Amino acid sequence: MVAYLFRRIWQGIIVLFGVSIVTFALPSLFSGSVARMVLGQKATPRAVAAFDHQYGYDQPILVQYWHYMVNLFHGNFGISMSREDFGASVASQINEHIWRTLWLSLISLVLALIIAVPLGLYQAIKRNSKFDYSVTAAVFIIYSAPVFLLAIFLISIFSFWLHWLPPLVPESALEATGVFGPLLYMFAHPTGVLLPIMVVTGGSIGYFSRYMRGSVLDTLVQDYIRTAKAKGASGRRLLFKHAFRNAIIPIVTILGLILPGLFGGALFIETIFNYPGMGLLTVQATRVQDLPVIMAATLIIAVTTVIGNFLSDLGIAILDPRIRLTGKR
Amino acid sequence: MSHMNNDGGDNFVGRYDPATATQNFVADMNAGLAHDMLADSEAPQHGVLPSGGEVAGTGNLFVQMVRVFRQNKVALFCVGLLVFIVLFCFVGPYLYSTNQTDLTAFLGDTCSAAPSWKHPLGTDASCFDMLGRMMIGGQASLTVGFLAAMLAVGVGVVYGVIAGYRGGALDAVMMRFIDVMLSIPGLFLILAVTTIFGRNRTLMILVIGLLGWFGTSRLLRAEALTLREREFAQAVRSMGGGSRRIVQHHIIPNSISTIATVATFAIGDAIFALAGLGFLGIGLMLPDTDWGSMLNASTDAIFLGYWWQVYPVAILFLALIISFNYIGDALRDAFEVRLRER
Repeated sequence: MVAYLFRRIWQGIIVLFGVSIVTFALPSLFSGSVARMVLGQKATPRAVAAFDHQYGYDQPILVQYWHYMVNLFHGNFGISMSREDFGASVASQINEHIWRTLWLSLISLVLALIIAVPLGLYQAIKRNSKFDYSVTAAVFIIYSAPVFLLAIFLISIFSFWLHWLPPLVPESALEATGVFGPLLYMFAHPTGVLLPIMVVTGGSIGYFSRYMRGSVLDTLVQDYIRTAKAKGASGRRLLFKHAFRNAIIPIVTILGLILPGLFGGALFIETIFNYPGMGLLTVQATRVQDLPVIMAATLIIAVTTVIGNFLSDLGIAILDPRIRLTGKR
Repeated sequence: MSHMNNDGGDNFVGRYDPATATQNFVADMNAGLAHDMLADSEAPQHGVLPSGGEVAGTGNLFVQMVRVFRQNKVALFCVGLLVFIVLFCFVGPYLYSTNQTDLTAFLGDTCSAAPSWKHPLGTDASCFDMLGRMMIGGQASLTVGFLAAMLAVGVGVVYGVIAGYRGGALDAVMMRFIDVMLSIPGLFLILAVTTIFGRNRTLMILVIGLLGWFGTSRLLRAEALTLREREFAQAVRSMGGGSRRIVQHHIIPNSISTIATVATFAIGDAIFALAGLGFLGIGLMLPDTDWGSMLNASTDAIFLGYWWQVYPVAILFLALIISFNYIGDALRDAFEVRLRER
C-alpha cells in the first residue's frame, strides 16, 4: 500500500511538472505575443523589446521557466497582461473567484448524489421496466445535451414562463468574498443561485445515476450475493447490507474524476448566469486576451484534476482491498 | 472505472475479433507469407510481399455497422436524423437562398423581425434570415466538427499505435505526455490557443483537432498493446512479416470498430467544442457562424420574446448532439469498446 502510494504520488508530480511546462510555454513560445496584446498590434519593435525586457520575456527560456516556477511556489501567478486590467495580480483575482465556483460545484454535487444514488439503485431494482427505460432515456438526453442548452431550457421554463426564478445571479454576488463568503451568500439568496445549481446538478445526475445503475447490476450477479441469498438474507438486507455497500464504491471513486468536468461546465454556467466565479473570470480574460489569467486558471484546474485522480485512486485502494493487496491497478 | 484512468491503459481489454483475425491470418497464409516460406523465396524482403485482397477489416466495418443499425432501431432513427440535418444544411441553401454574408444589404431593415412569409423563422439581431442562417451555421458546425474529428482520430491512432506497438521507454514517455495533456481540460487549452492565434474555420479545425486526440491515442495504444501479442501477430512475425505489415494489416484492421466508435464520439465532441466557444462569444467571427454562436445571446432573446432566434436552433442542435452520442453508444455497446467515462 505504501509503495503503491509513493509510486502514485511520484506519477502525479511528474504529470504536474509537465502541466507547468505547458502552461508556461503556451504564452512564452510566441515571443512578443504578450507584448503585442498589451501594446497593440501596431507597436514598434522597439516598444516591444522594451516591454519584453521590463517583464523578463527577453531572458533565456530556462531562466524564465525557473522564475515562473519559483513564483508559483510563492503563490504568485504573475500579473494581468490585458490592456484593461494591466498589472492586476492574477493570484488575488483567482482567490476572489475560485471559492464561488467551489461552493457552487460542491453544493450541486451533493444534491446530484442525493438524487442520483437512490435513482440508480431503484432503476437497477426495477431493471428493464417502463420506469427504468424512461429514466434512462431522460438521463441520456440531459447527460449528452450541452450544458448551455439545459440552461436555456431551464431559464425558459422557470424564469420566462413561470417567473419563479431570476435568470441572472444578482450583482451582489460580487460582494461574497473569502473562503466561506460565497456559501453564506447562497444561503442568504437561495433563489438567486437556484437556477445555476439546478443546471450543474441536472448535468451531474446523469453521470452518477448511469454509474450507479450499472454498478448495482454488476454487484447483484456476484457470488457473495448468491451466498448471502442462500444463507437466507432477506431482500432488504441483501440489497442494503451486501449489494449497496459494494455498488457505492465506484461512485466514491468517480467523485474525484468529475472535478475537471465541473470546472469546464463552470465556463458556460457562470457566463450564462453572470455568476462571478473562475469560469466567468476565464471567459472575460479571453475576451480581453489576458493570457496570464487563462494560463493560471488552466494550471489550477489541471492541478485539481491530478489531485482528484489521485484521491479517487486512493479511495478505491482503501475501499477495495483487492487493489491494495496486489499493489496492481 | 476510475482507477483505470491514470495509467497508460493496461487495464483496457482490447477488443479482439476472432473472425477478422483468422481471416487476415488465412489471407496472409494464402496470399503472401506462405508463398514466401514454401516457394524458392526469390524475394523474401518484407516490403515486396504481395498484398492482394487481404484487408478484410475495412470491408467488414460496413457489414458490422449495418448489423448494428439493423438491430438497434433507435440508432437507425438517429442516422436518419443526421442525414436529414446534413441535407438541410448542405442542400437547403440551394432551395432556399438567402443573403448570409453582406451586412450592409440590411441598412434600414428592422432586425429581429418575427416569422413571416418572407422570413419563415424570422430574422436575427443582425437582420440575417434565421432559416437560412441555420443552414449556414449547421454547415460550419458539421464541417468543422467532421474535419477536426478526422484530424484528431488520425493523429490519435498513429500516436497510440506507435506507442503501444513499440512499447518500452518510448511508450512510457509518449504516454506521460498524454497524461499531462489529459489533465488539462480541453476547452481551457482551446481558449488559450485561440486567444493567441485567432478564430476562423481553418484555425478552429486545426486547434480543435490537434487538441482533441489524446483520449483516442490512449485507447488505440491499449488496442495495439494487446493485439501485438495475439497469436496471429506472432504468427506473422514468425513468418518474417515486418512491423509495418503487422500494424497495417492486422492491428489497424482489428481496431477498426474501435476507431469508428471513437470517431463518432469525436465528431460530437468537436461540434460541441466549436459550439461552446461560439456560445461564449469567442467562436467564429461574423458574418460566419455556427449553431453555438447563434445561441450566444439566447437569454436576452428569450426575454425579448424572440423565440424564433432560440428554440429552432437549440432543438436542431440538441438533435444533432444526441444523435452522435446515441450512435456512439450503440457502436460502443455492439463492438464492446471500453471507453472511459462514457
